[in-house]
Amino acid sequence: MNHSGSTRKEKGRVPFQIRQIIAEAVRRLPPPGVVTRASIAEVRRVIDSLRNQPILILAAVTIALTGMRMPRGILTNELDPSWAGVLESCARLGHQFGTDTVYTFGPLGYFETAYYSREFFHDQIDWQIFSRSLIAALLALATSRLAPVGRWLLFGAVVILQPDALMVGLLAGSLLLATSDGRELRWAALLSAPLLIAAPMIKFTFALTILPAMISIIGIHLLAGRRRFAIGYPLVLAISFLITWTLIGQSPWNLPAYVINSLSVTSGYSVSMVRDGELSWLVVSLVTLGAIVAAVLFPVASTLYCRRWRDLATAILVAGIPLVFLFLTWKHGFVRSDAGHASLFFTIAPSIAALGLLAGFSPSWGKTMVVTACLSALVGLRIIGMNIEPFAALDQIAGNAKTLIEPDQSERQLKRALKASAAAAALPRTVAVVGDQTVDVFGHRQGAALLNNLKLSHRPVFQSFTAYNSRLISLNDRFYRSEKRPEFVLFALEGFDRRFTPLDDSKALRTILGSYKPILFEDHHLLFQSTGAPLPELRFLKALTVHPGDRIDLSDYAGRDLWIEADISSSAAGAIRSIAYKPTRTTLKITRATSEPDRREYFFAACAAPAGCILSPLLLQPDDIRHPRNSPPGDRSGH
Amino acid sequence: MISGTPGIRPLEIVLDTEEPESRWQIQPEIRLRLHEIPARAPLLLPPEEQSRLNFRMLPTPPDRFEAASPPREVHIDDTALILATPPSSIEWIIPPGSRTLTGMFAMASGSRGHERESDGATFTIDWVAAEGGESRRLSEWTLQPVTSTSDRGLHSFEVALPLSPGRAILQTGPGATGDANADLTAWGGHHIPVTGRFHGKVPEADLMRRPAFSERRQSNRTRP
Repeated sequence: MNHSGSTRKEKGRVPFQIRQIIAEAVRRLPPPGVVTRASIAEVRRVIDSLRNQPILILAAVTIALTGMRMPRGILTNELDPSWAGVLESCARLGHQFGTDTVYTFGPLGYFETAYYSREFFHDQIDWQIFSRSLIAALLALATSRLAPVGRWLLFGAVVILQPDALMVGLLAGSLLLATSDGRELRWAALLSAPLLIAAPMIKFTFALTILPAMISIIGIHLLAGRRRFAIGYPLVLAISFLITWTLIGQSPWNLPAYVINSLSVTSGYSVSMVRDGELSWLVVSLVTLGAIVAAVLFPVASTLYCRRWRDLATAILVAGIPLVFLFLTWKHGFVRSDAGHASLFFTIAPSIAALGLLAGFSPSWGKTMVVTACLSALVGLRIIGMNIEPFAALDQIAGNAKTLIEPDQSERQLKRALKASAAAAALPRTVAVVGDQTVDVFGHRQGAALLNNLKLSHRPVFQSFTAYNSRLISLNDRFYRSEKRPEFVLFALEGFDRRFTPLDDSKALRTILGSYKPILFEDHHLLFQSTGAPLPELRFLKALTVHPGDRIDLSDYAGRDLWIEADISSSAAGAIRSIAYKPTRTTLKITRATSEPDRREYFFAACAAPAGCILSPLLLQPDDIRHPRNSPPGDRSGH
Repeated sequence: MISGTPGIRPLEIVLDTEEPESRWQIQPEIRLRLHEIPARAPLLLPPEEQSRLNFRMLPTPPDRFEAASPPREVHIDDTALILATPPSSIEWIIPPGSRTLTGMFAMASGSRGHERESDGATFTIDWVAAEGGESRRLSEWTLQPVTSTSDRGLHSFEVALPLSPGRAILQTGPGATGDANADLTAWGGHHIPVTGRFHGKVPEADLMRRPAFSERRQSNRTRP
């Protein structure tokens, strides 16, 4: 239906227009009985048509089974299981995301962590069945639009490489919504909606791909004259999102905080977790990226040649969808360029390339580029040390099928493993002291508290190294200065990546050292107890402006405890590089007061530096937590 | 003070990019603000907990530890060990009963590639009976990681202990020339099935400026 005439008349009265469209849509809704009858007839028709498509059904079932992330991991006190455990604990205790808990994952994050949850095991499985069925159906719908080469390419890419299934499903859904009409559009809308609603509640970063995709979809349907769909569908999604958010116990008033604070974590990650990888990895990734961009942009170039401006705008909007997914997965893979992250890009790139064919007609040029992208992604996987095992999918299918057929037996095995993990991480002396009082874990081993069934009352940004910037650092410090602060803190100073450990969650660290006292040491954790002592204000000593590489002499302050704050800003060119790729690592080189020349270099994240940190004494491992004034005045320089 | 070591202070700092050629990515001026953290109450752990912290690399704190430097954690082949530079002695009181003593020893990589390379070091396990004080050597090894590649990395041991009560003493000594300056010897492992309590005081001498063996032993004995 084309409403272009009325659009011109009511220009500038968008809110009224939206109300009018909603009212019109509601008025035109057929009675519920008619809807049910029509729906049943439509589903019957689809089932009838599928009877003749056994290969398609087999392919869809294979895709669903390989894409499932069944809970197989077990909570330990290591880094990854710890954050997964906290997400589960937050869901159990009804924590508010955005205020009580700030992370890249959201209130439904435990659906996709693949770590076993005693409370939500069956919910995790149900979600995997539901979401992967939708994703498989969306991919089946997508393959019906592809030529046989693209169809098999997509199937192989999804089954053999096993990329992030949710990301692939969101891309397939978005592209189908952007490029379909009529009956196919209705099915795409129906199948995509649950994923589009749930994904931002699972992990906030999904919203960063969904939002630009939705803007493109709205634009495309407005250009095509389908205004009712262009406005109605996103509106239904937004309302459904709000209802679901509320139903799972989250306050709608916390949504702005969820968005702002999660954005802060996401942006801080790309500065604070930056890590350089091999140049060859980057080169191969750029070849892959370039081939997909060339394939996706070909329809745009063709439209430009024909000078049909409406078609050109539509082609740009359609091409924008895979490009957004491509850019964000590439950035995610290479900001922290280790094999694990790089593999995320190389495994999903062939799927993006194959689905990109939906973005336009596929002449030989497009196909050549897609094949080039797939081959270079395979080369990429090879050079980062990932073995491509075509039959690994069979193991994955067998494992997932076993969990589906015998969930209780799987759960019994997981429970046994969890019990063993709890025994390995037992802190009997800590448990005896803490009892049922509240405890937080400073560091990243929250699993230690969870496995010992301690009453975890964590600061909002619950793992120290994820307090990436001043905003997040202050958020945690406010928690420790509030009435909500825990009675005890399980404390471990642990760095990695040559990070300057005192900069991680620096203000909370100072507050803990000032307002808590250590009472025992057990299995690499110091247990601190609150003293309630007020934290004295810092005494300003000096402000200075230096250039990168300048030596800053601290001999005037020998024997004094120092706090340093540094404003290290990006240059314009550096900011562009940071957005397009990643920022450079800033470092703090320290010459220590030792008998022999001793100079060490630490990663000093520019985004956290304005918040400040303890500079002297150097707090780099548990032994370093001390009060220097306790040692004789002449004995303050260590080994 | 939680640690047994004195504070480590920075003398000079430099803020920079990791590679100097990447400086174009940040503004040419960095603004710094230095503050003093006001004095606070000393962070003191109870002595028994302090001992557990100092010897966290061992499953059970030893009953006596003597070495030139305070007990420090070193990582060799991803395993946390306790640095005990020669001559050093770590001692556990072993109650009566049948048992074996298992663990690991190694020389840290700093023993190689230094200006003064290590001439090797000795590792010994002695047994001193509780009754009569009779001493006997249970095991002895010499490592020369600079010249012998097989001596690098971790080495495991399993030693049968006498049934009678006594003391197990793990010692390290210098190599053939008696020069211990570049010897970073370490013990560790999670299977030393001993119990006991740390009684000795942790020495605070500097690792790189240690006195002669006899002087250090003397100085340790005189500590309260």
